[in-house]
Amino acid sequence: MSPARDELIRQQMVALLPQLRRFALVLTRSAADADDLVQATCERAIARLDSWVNGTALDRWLFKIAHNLHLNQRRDAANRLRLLEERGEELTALPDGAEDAENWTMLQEVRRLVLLLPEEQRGALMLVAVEGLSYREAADILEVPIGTVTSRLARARDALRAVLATGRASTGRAALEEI
Amino acid sequence: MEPNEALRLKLMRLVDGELSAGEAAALALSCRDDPAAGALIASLQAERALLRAAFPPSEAPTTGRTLAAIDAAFAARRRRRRLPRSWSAAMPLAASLLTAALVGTWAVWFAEERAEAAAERLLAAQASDRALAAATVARALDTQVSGSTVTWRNPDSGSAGSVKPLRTFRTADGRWCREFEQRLEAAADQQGRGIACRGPSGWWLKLERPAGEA
Repeated sequence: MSPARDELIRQQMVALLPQLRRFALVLTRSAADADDLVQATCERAIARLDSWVNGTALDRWLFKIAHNLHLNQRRDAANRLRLLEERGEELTALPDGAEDAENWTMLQEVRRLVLLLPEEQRGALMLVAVEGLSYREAADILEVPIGTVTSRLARARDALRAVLATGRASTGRAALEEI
Repeated sequence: MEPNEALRLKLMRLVDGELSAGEAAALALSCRDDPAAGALIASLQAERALLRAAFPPSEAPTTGRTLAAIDAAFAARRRRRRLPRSWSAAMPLAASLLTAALVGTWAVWFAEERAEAAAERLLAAQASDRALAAATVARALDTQVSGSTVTWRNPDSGSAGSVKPLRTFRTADGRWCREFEQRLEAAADQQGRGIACRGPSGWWLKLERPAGEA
């Protein structure tokens, strides 16, 4: 591939970093781990650029690499020692200060709930509901059958709905404490 | 009362845009007089909107570091293209991370340098020694308790070496790191210590120093 083509890919990759980091944050539940994961994902992608089938969307490919790297990392025993609370604190930064107080509480609650979902549900939910990918695309990235994506999404949605139905953050918090 | 599971799944697929236009129309028709289904659709749509609002794309405070890593990886890619084919084939990515920095010159450096970038300085070292030493370091750090030694020997070059993890600790930002000692018996015997920290793709060398300069 030509240097000009490399430069084009580099620009696309840099533009995708915020999306990639969002995905990494929800997978890893830690800002430091998410940054490492994003960086490792980019490095691996660049090292394997020649094996990237041109025509596959770059974002899908990066998500897939990030997910694979994360699965490998998760097997690292040391990670299991981390406390859930410690990680749950990482995602409270707000975008642009545009949300009012009530919304803020609600969105914070959504983040907490999502981060407490089982990991495989988190990945499917982010790819479909947040990134807007199709079930087929999510299944390719997660390397599971499409039916598995559907059932993971359904379980995640059921869990979220059960807590959010009340619209009151206090209820959500009470439910969280039981988990 | 909530719709049954089959209908819940179908409504979820509707909201996620997974149904064809025809399927969606038929579903809408069959749910016209079902307030519970209508409420579930509204709830699912609201959830989607909430999720998107809750997780905006995320700018990292460390973006500069990531950009530098991206540029370094592209630079390495350009260099790799110029290297003989056998070289890149002989260096699996994981192995290249550590070894390049470990075998050869026992220089001191502190930067968070991906060892791959250092590989060029060390092209002279035997690739097979490098691969063996790297694999041994990674294996020792992954599997050995502190104080136990893993050795390697390369029958092709006659070189041998050993790796001994010394201690394990966590940095302030939560990474797991290990200090280790490495010996290399090659043309001249060498010994040194290093610190490597675990990242998503393997061990990263953080610090290395020759024996006697501790």
